[in-house]
Order: sequence, then structure tokens, then C-alpha cells
Amino acid sequence: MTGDVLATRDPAAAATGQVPVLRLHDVRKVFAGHAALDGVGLEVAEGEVVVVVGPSGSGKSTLVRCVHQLEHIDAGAMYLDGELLGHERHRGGLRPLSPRGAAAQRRRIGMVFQQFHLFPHFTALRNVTEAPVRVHGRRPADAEAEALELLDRVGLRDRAHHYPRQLSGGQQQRVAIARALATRPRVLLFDEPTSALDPELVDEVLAVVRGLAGDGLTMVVVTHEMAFAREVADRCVFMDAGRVVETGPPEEFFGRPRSERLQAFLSRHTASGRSDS
Amino acid sequence: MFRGIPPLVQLIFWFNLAYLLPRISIGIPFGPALVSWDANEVITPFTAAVIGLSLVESAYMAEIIRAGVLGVDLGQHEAARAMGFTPVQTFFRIVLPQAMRTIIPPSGSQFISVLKGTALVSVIAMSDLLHAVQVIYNRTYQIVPLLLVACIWYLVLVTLLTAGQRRLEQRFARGHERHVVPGRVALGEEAAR
Repeated sequence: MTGDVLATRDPAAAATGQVPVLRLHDVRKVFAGHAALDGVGLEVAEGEVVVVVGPSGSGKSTLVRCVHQLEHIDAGAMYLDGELLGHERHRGGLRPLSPRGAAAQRRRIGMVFQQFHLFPHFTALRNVTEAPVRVHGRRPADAEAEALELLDRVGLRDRAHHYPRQLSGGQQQRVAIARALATRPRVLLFDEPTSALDPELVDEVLAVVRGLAGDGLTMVVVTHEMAFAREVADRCVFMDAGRVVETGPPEEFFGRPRSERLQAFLSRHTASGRSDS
Repeated sequence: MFRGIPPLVQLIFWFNLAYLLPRISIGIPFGPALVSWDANEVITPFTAAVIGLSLVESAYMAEIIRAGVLGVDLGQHEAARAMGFTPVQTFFRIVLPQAMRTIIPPSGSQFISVLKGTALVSVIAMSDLLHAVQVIYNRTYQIVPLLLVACIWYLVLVTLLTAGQRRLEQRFARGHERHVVPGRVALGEEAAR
């Protein structure tokens, strides 16, 4: 671990006076000798929508999973609102957070999974209210009123009392988005939210994400939908082999890619027709 | 180990524990004993039956519950953790209720097999249903009619247990119905208005 991370406050933020919502510094993650993340740095400002694209195995899913502490990082540091994620100060050094401490930090980050992962034994409404009530201690009546509003926002108020199994994939993913929003996260992470969906269901989910971007929510979206990336992103990030290869505003990123690898990646995706969806 | 030895052998073993350990005491290890009993008094047929049957059953039940918990999709753990649930909350609110669906059917069979297993304790002179019947027919010599009475009682009890199991299964099948329950949908539409 490098010297500047021996503090639970973000040293870079302290120096510049500006605190990004999320900052990753030289994050490394190794799976069985293979570097899934090989020194990734990333900053996400308040209200910014960062879209991460890249070939399979480039580490983009691992990236959001590490931010959410579903995977432990092997080196580097991550800060949420300037606060170190995953470690706490202990006798002059740092030690990994207890499961309870990690849970407390996760409450400030929302996550939408590729496979939705709704709780099948709860109705759509209960899926949305469970965390606010059990984790954040909100009053059930308040949480329910808010949950119905969120379900309305994703266009599923009339499905509130359905169980996940009675909903289509697109509807399930929209409930999952409402569920993630219910905890009022500082940043919302999307791990390929449309990859498990039939093509005709992709648009309804993307429309919801587009709406959230319009509302000024801070988001990190990992996706294969190039047209969507170009449309909603404030900034695009291209990852390959565990590294950030290129980053920039969407017009430049898609219009005038600088690196050869991004050029090759984009031409492949346009050729296969995926970016048309 | 408790799954590897026939329950009948275990029952007889526990019943005859006094040969191995004449006195049973609770105390501080290598220190003074706080309470002490004569093993012959403590190990009545009843305690031997309880110890023997419960050790065998708990070994099977542990495996059933483990299989049920392992059967819950890893994504459910992750989703719960992602929402800030602590490990304990994740287990009791999310994982266990889903595991119950797969835990209940084999548990029902186990329950029934314990009930039938109680017939074994008649060998250690415990007055279970079979033993009571034996006592009566040894006096009256009406062997077959009384054995039939025992059979009917076992069947009645097993039927009751099975009905109970079905109700439990329905309770934990929430969200797994194949078809939309009409009442629920009506409720949903009402709430939406």
C-alpha cells in the first residue's frame, strides 16, 4: 500500500478542496494470478454519468463490484465523498472494515445487477421497501409511500403487488432500479443492466436510466449498448485488460477515438450492429 | 458419525451408558464438580430415547438445512449485501426464507421417520405406542387386532403431519406460484388507484 492511502480521508481531495463523489486510485485486483484490475484510476463528480465500455474480461464488471465491496481490492484506494472505502483506521494503521462497517458504507451506494437479483419471496413493493425499513430504519408507511412513487417513476405502480416471477425481465430490472433508488444512494452503479434482457425489453430499461441521468443522479454504468452510452454519458471510459485505456466526452470518444484499441473495439461493435439498438 | 451407526444400536448404547460412565457430573474442567448424578438414575428409558433419536435426526436435519441454504442463488446474498444488510439480516431475511422451500419437503419426511422411529424405543422398555400395544396383547393374546390398532394410530398421526407439512409448503411458496393469483392482482390494481 502506498503512503498516501494511510489515511481514511482522500488526500487528493484535501489538497484541491474539491471532493468527487467517487475516486479510485490505482486500484488492483488479482484473480488467481490474473490481474482483473491493473491499476485503475477514476473520478466521478457529483451528478456525473460515467459510462464504462470494453470487451468481455476487460475488468469493467469487476470495477463496479470492487467499488461495492463485493470483491476486495488487492491494492490501491477508493474514496466515497472523500472517505476511504473498505478500511478503517486502527492503531495507526489501516485494517479491513468489519462486515457491519462495510454494510454501513454499502448503504450509501446503490447497485443494479445484470441478473436483477430481486428477492423472489417478496412482492415488487416489498423488494423496494425492505432495505429502507430494515436497514435505514424508516417507518414502514413512509417507506411504502416512497416506494410506490419510485415504482411509478419506473412505470410499474400497477405491478406493486406482483411477485418477481410474475414480471417480465424488463419489468424486474425496473423494479431492481427502484429498489436501488429507495436507499437514496450517493452513487448508483449499473453492472450491464440490459445484458440479460431480450432485445425488445432493453429500451424500457434504458428509458428509465436515461430519466435518472436527466434528474442529475450520479451514476456509473457498465454497458454494451453503444448508442445508449453515447447519448447519456457525460464521460465515457474504455477499459481493456484491466486498465483504463481511454476516457473522454462521448462526442470525442465515439467520433475521434485516439487509441487503436478503442478504434478496433468501436468498429467491431458497429459492424456487429449492437450499437444500433 | 451419528448417521453411520444404526439408530437401534445407538439407542441401546445410550440406554447402557451407565456401564461406561457410572457418574455424570457438570463442573469446571480439571476442577471441582458442581453437580453430579448417578448415571443409572439419569439415563431412564425416556432420556436414552430422547438422546438417541435426537442425535440421529439432528445429523440428518443439519445436512438438509445445509443443502437448502446452499441451494439459494449466490446473487441473492450479493443483492442483500449490496443493499446494506448485515450478514445476520441477509441470512434470516433473505436466504433462509428462500431455503425453506427446499428444506421443508425432506424435513417432513424426516419428521415422519422420527415418528416411526419411536417404535424402536420399545426395545429399551420405553412405553411408546408399540410397547403399550405389546404389553396389552401379552395379557390378552389378541396380537393381530392390537397390532392393527397400532397401525391405524401411526397412519392417523402421519396423515396429520403430512397435512401440516403441506400447509407450511404453501406458506413458503410465496412468489413461486405458476399463475397469477387473481385476488392478489385485484389488490394490486386497487392499491395503484
